[in-house]
Amino acid sequence: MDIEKTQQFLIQTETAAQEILIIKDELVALDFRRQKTREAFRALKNDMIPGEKAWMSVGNMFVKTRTLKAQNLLEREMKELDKDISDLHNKLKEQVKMLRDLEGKPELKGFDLQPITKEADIIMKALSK
Amino acid sequence: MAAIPSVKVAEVREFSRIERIGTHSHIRGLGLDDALEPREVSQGMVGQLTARRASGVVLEMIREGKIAGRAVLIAGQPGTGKTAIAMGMAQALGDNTPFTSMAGSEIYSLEMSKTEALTQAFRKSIGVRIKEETEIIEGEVVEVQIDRPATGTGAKVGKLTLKTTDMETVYDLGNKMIESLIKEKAQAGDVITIDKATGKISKLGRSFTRARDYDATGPQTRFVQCPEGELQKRKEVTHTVTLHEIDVINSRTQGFLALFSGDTGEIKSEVRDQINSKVAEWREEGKAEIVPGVLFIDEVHMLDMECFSFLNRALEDDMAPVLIMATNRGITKIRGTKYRSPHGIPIDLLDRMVIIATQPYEEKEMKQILKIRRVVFLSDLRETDPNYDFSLNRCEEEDAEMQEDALLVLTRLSMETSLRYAIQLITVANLIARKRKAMEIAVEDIKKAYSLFLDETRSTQYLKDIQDEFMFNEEDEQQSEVAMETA
Repeated sequence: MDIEKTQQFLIQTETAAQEILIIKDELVALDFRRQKTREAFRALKNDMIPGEKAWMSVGNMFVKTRTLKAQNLLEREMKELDKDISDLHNKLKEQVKMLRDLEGKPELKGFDLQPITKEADIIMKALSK
Repeated sequence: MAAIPSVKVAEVREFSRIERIGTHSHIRGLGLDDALEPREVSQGMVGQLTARRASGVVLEMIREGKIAGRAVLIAGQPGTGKTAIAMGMAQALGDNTPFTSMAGSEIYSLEMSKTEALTQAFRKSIGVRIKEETEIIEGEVVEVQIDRPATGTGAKVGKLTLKTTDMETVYDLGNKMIESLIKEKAQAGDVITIDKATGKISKLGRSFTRARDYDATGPQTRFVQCPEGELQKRKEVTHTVTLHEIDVINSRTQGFLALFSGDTGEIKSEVRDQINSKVAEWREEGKAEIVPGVLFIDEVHMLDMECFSFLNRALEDDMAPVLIMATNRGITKIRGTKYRSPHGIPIDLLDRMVIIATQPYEEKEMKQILKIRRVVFLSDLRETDPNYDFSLNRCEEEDAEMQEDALLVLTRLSMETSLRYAIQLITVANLIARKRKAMEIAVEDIKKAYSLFLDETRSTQYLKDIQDEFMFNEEDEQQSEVAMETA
């Protein structure tokens, strides 16, 4: 009876921990795409003559499109990536909270607050000097 | 078998992290189990089971933030562990809950009014939790490429290639970023972070993989791992600061200097009002949380009537901390009045408090405390006097340096005199034992110490016996008692 409970508990903890690792990997992959998209956007902006058409890969197909259109597409993609990453960060936070709860560790407080980076920076600088 | 002594040594060593030996430096918590049941001897606490259990309940309520603005009174005879319990509570609360400890007499100062001192103490006990969030780019520099204009002056442009163990990317840089890269002397192989919002570049060190690039490196070169994962990271940090700290920062232009010179002086009430409304605004917008802490006032009977009425008022504030007070007085005069009241505290304030009583220690408990103090004392000695030879008894029981019958004598002494006196005797007796080159404190050392140093009762007796020989003792007993009362 107790063994079954322990096993159940271990499964839960491990699943939660695994989920965190998955999210972290996903974040790395998304950031990779973000950087590459940004590079592509830069390249289109700097190295292309306006009005010329550019090759662009869509899935496993190369399409020749107008530069401006390609730029717009990339820009939209970057925005989406930023949003995805931000969502994933929040999901990661929730997951960590859940894991800590399962492990019986105290809750990490204050991470659901809205950031006040500028003020906090001033206060902490004043306190540490 | 061989493993056991080494475990015990480690246990004793634990204590040696305590920097200086204080009366309560052996206390690490309230010594409660998960169900808040007190263990007989745990975390440096001994006995006082009901009082400890009661404080455990209070503690749990503080943790849940349920009893902000309430007051707890720990009452008991001298030497029954009131301060010990308060210290235990402070330890159990941890670093993230503000805990201010003061003695009642601390509020009497020439530089500061009583209410100002109390207000500061209150505000030191209220924490504000805030969060910083920054997007940073962190990576190892692979290449810096700078295009300088042929004329020599004018805007530079360039490219910066950064990598982590998972990816590599190129950033186009403008003039400002290039300037700051040059200023930071960032070059290939350095690990840097760039704050996305401000563009500030800071160098973390050089990558380990580039450690062999040069034959000679400067002494300040720090080697770090190449960062892992994403290049652009989000960093969140939470801080808990006290209202008083924010007050001080804002009360003067060079405010933060004042915080550490100790002389904060009085803080204008306008400054406090401004900060209160700012914090309230932050709370409203979900930018800050209030962390009600604990204010501990020892010897609370030293406060006078004005202070008590101030406390009454201050406890009603919606940001008030939990107030814990301790007193060893019975029914006595409230300071500043001619009225008598239990514990020297006005009845109306007393009515707002939950009262925890401490009982005198029993013989068994006294012995236990003396044992603990013995260990604390020894570990302190170990740090301050490296020549003291511990090798003889290193592997024995932790209280081996005192013979069992010596401990018994000491315990009996502590029952007759006081616990504090007995603890003092440990230090003295140990010196005496060392003088006769003994490793253990024996009964004779305790006896010697007892004969050398008077306890309170014997000192009084001694004075009574020979007071005719002292100066200025014309007053008869009656008069001197009156003088004591008014003093």
